[in-house]
Amino acid sequence: MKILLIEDDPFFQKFYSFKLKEQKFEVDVARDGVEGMTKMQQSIPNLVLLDLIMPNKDGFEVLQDKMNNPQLRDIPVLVFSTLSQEQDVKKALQLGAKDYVNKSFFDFDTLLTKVKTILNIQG
Amino acid sequence: MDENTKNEFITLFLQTSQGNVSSMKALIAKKQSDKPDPDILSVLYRLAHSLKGECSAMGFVTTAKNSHLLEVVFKKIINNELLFTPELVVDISESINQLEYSLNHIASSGSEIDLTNHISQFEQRTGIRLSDVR
Repeated sequence: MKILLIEDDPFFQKFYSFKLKEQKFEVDVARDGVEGMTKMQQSIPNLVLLDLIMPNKDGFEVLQDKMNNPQLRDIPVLVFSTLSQEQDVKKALQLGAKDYVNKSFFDFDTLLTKVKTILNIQG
Repeated sequence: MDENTKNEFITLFLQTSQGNVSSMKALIAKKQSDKPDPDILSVLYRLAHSLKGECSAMGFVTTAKNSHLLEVVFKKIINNELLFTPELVVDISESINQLEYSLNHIASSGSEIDLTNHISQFEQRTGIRLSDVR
């Protein structure tokens, strides 16, 4: 299963890549929304993990572009959230994101559970 | 995750967050007039947002809250809801310094500085209440 991680923060890029690869996922990383859209079109992932506040093209624009592209529309997206981003999460869900998860160094299990649920992976 | 890997990630967290603070300090020092450059404000906003996420993810609660307050301040300046006065620039610079102290303390001892009093004073001066921000 291939996951595209669209995230501008080098700390979270490396942390989530490492943890997801440990779980035997294939992980590709894009540093912003522009690179994310390019990579999504080059090789369609099974799931996108998407940060919302990024340079060049933010997560909302990625969701909008994806929704307008029939080839990409059905790729499930899980968005990242941090403190007090309730309104951002609501907007992302309205733009087609499946769910959200709080960034945490200590709680990877919640993210993994949501990834497995969306990808219909048992166990 | 083994201890070595965990320590590598803590080192990466510190490199990333301290780098973000250095970038904020350099950008705020560039401020020359009461009309801030919108591009610089956008970068400052994103840097504060990144710091909030990094510190929150690592469990450094008051350092994350201080970053959050800076994020809200920059957002309000961008949206013309807060004036970019010289007094506010002093407050922002002091808040960035507090972030730097706390990150340095984390680097040396593993624990953050309690920034609750600073956050409360900054909230009073800007009229922002973090508890009301959604």
